[in-house]
Amino acid sequence: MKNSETRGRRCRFEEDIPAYLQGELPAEARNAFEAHLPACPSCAKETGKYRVLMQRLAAPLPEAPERDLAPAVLARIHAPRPVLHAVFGGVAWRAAAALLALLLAGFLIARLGARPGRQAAATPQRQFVVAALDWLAASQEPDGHWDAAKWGAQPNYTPGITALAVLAFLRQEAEVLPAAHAEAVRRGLDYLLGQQNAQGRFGKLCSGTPYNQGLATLALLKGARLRADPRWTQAADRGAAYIASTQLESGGWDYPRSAQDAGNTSVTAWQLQALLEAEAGARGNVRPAIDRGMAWLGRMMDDEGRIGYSRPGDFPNGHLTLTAAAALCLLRDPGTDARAATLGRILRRLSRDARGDDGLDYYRAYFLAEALRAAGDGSSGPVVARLQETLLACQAQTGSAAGSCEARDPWSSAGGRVYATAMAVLAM
Amino acid sequence: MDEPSDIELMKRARAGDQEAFAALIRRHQAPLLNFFRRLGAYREAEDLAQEVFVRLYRWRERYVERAKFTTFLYTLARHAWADHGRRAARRERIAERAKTELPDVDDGAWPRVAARLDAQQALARLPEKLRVVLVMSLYQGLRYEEIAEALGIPQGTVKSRVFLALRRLREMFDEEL
Repeated sequence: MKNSETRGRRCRFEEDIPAYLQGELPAEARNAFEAHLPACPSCAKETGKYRVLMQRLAAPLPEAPERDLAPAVLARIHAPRPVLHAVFGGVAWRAAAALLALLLAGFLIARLGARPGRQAAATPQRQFVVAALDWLAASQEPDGHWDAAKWGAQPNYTPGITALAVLAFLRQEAEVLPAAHAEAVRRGLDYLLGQQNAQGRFGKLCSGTPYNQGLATLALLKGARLRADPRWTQAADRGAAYIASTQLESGGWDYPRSAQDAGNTSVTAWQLQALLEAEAGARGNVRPAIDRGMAWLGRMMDDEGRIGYSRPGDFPNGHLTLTAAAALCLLRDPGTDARAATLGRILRRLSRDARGDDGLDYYRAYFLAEALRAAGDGSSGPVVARLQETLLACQAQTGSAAGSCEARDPWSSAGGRVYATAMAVLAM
Repeated sequence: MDEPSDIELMKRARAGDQEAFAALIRRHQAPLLNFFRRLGAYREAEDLAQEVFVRLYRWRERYVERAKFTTFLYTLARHAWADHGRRAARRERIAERAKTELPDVDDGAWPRVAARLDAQQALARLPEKLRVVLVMSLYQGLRYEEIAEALGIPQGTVKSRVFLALRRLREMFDEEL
């Protein structure tokens, strides 16, 4: 075979060299490579260089004394584990969680009283989450969705609030997820499968589409970690592809109107969350879309580190939610090297402005709590404590709605009681 | 007597045999530790390895004996690594990879240590997607087919990423080859 089969300076067979050296080429490709080699000085030379490189890389790491991990692993498996370990994570945050439990105990015992059937040692946050998830499980429809109209939401948001409820269950780690909740997740995700069209969109095309899309894709990706259901991963792949296809020329995302729309941070954050989850699970090549989206977010920042809605300084409902949403995306993006300065400014802004007692806003509570936890900043404990105190006070204690959260924040008219309850769980 | 296979040990672990599970841990702990070290988490490698085994135990009912056990194990390892990456701020991970924690060595051993250090630092400079595939291929002994299954990507993508990773490393070491 001629060695003239080159593109520029590289022979097209060069890409086969590592696989050839590792014995990974199929027989036909191996034969073709070996037939090509004698006639191609470039490949012969490159093969030698790759061989040397791979030998060099194979040099072993310094052998640190190895201890037997088995006793420690078995001890972890059998040790009683507080569920909130999964929620808070991180050494600094576990310490803050313990302090929070102590601080709230005196206040909340008087307000909430002892709840029948609950463990006396359960923290208020744990009691809140248990009651909320019980209500969500009980209010799920037989086919797996949560009914928008029944719970005060706009019907177009049914896929989104279903996904949000599923995400609330998935906050628990797989090993502590009760069977009833795992079943709720399964039914919810199976329902979402039926809502996806051939293009990968969930639900009908409407103003709710970006939320439906981001949340449903995210829920399917996280659910696939619980159970490797190929239907879920394939639907998530199509969902992510749809998200990438609807990215605006500006790099952000917006309500479905025109490709020339400016984009808005609220919608963009959910699309990026879904794409970041897809990339973390090695699902498809979404990095270009993530990079463009992150660049768009960076352009929404003003000189004071606040993130605007569609442009810098654009705060129709204050900046905290938008800034926290951007912070969360940046904290979760493994390609944040070049954006560390942006992230630092945003986090400094949040730590300065977030007080946690700015009134009821489940959406803001989720993004703030999640971003502050992800940042691992122990000094933000009091802020998150105040956020959670507000949420704890919104949970219904009696009647058929017991465990759910009052739908009375600015966004409840869209998402209803299911949104309120699920968001509160995610923020807790 | 032949040692029991990984699949046999998993079966016994599923049936409640703790010693069988401990044997699985001892068999795979060293390569798993080195996997995380080569990915860049030298100080956290032990915690990550423990996390993988804990997840392996809790997922034991879901293991299907149709593929190599190591494929399943490194699928869990990949998830643990991804979760680790999400927990740590990016700046902290860069600082971690920049540090070296090699044991003290005498002058005579220093050149050997320096060579290993170069390879590890070079690996650390690869984009994560390329680094994970290369480490699984070169160090963990996984075939392209197994890596593809563990990462949920096509086999052709594995081949491309191995090539791209090695080409980038070639550029880093080019003067010395």
